[in-house]
Amino acid sequence: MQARLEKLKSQKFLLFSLAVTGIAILIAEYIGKETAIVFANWIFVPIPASMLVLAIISAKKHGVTGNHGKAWIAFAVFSACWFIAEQVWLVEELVYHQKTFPSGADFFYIIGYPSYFIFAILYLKPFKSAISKKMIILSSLVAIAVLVPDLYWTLENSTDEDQFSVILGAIYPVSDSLVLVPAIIGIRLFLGGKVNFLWTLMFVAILLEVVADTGFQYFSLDDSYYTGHPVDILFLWSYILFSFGIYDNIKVFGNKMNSYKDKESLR
Amino acid sequence: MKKESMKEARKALVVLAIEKTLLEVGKTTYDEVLGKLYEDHGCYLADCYEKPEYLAHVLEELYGPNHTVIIDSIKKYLAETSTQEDIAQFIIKISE
Repeated sequence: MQARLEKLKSQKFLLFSLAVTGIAILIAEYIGKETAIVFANWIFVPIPASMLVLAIISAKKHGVTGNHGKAWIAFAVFSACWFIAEQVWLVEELVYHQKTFPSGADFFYIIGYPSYFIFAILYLKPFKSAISKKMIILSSLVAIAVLVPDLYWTLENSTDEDQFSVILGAIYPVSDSLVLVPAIIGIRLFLGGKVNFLWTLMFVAILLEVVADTGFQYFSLDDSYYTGHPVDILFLWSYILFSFGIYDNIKVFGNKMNSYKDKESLR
Repeated sequence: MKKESMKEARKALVVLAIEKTLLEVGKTTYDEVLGKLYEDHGCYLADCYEKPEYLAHVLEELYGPNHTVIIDSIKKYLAETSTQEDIAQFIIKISE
């Protein structure tokens, strides 16, 4: 009962965080473009930082033993890459007044994807015998269904862009689709278990990332994108969902560890 | 006397198999299972030899119906000794 109440509270707090972030961006946007640019650049400091801090806490708690220990180290690397990417974006835009796409931030966003993929693979590895070919095919089909229109959209509307920007723009939908596959498998695999909440939030976070990346491409191509554009809400929500997923997982595997200092006595 | 020490040896073997499997998943899974076994069922890991269903229940709570994969790994470690009646009984009970 206590656990259920705590879960409900944390879900309410999640919804509250999503609503506040969305409203804050919309208010900044309503005030004016300049305000939106400055506000959005700064809000991308604490939100990705909270994901990074939680990922480091989780990696520290899990240690290096076993597949899940190594998985959380990979997730911490992913969080660090995306946090650095956001800060590079901020410096390039607010300090150097440079174009933010393509930019140095893209390097860190892109190297974050393999780290996330490694996390997912290592987390699912102990359960690999429960992953059927059918499950992989179905998840891949969902990912392809997301990828095809997204990629078509990106390439079709990039005719005026230089080749480097087109390739860079295409890397995002491909990477999003690749990381979507283990996320779908994770939800299906842990259905009914406590760790399912983490995988559900991760799946929704990646899905939002897909929509946000598509929106970013669309609005960038018609030159209507700027930092603080409403499409950024989806990127922020993605970070929030990741953060709550990690927080929940820390709680699932945290309570007992702290209660029983002398674990040897429980053998 | 000899029969009793044989039983203790088999019990130790089962505990080792459980520990090795859980640590392969992760240290936190191992810690959480140990803590949950004590909190929910008032038992220690060694007691899972007689009550393997407690272990299955804790694993199911964490990982859902596919916790059976972890149980299969434990069974795999014990496969060579499963001809022993006690261990065979453990395998049957944990599989239920």
